[in-house]
Amino acid sequence: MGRDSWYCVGLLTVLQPRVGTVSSLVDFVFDICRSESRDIAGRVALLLWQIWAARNDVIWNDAYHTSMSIERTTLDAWQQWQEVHKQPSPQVMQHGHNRAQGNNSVWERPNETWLKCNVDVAFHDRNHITSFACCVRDSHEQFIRAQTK
Amino acid sequence: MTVLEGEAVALLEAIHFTDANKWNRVVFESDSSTPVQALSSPSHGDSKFYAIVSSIIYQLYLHSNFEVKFVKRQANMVAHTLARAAYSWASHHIFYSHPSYIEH
Repeated sequence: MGRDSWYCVGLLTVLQPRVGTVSSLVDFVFDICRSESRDIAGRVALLLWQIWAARNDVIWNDAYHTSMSIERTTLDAWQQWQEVHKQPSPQVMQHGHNRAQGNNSVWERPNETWLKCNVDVAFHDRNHITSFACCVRDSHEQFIRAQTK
Repeated sequence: MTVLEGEAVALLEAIHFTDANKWNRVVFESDSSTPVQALSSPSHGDSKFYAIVSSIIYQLYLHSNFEVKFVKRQANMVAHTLARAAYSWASHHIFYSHPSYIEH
């Protein structure tokens, strides 16, 4: 599973050449920080963290994770890290959406005569089912329609 | 299906859904930044992910009043909750009224 996780996050090419050439995890991490890009080093760090958390879950909670759920949490965590550390970019005024508040961490109404459709996906580990969802609301925050597939 | 492919397919499914309902001024919001960024600067890969991204780009070209935006997960909770809950019902479901267990 650990190996699959490296594959899923697209880091197998980082892991493989170092197997057998570094003698400890410390050397492995140090080598990656020294020779790889910020993006790769960041993803490696978060992947190691997620694998560690998954192992703890097996031991303490008898809860098993798939490589895909580890991939998801790793990429999510990396995305959030980058989001938080991003330089603020100039606000773009779009015609369908009022950016006056300039905060995308709360749901905002679309402009009059526009609809807003929130979209997400969920991976259900137990039986490898993937669900897609979208929910449409109007500028008065009224529910219009939703779909799951 | 990888996570990225899944997130791109979710967008495409939403676009098809709104198109089928003949709504033409729609802002789509996803809490996954990679597919949203790929729409404005598609690197040309021949992976399955970029095939899905190309379909989305084509749909956006057909519907000039469709916009796709990245938001934080906190702003996308309604879709987040719905996708997770979808596990327990039939494969395809359309809601015509607000599902009670989903917060406004």
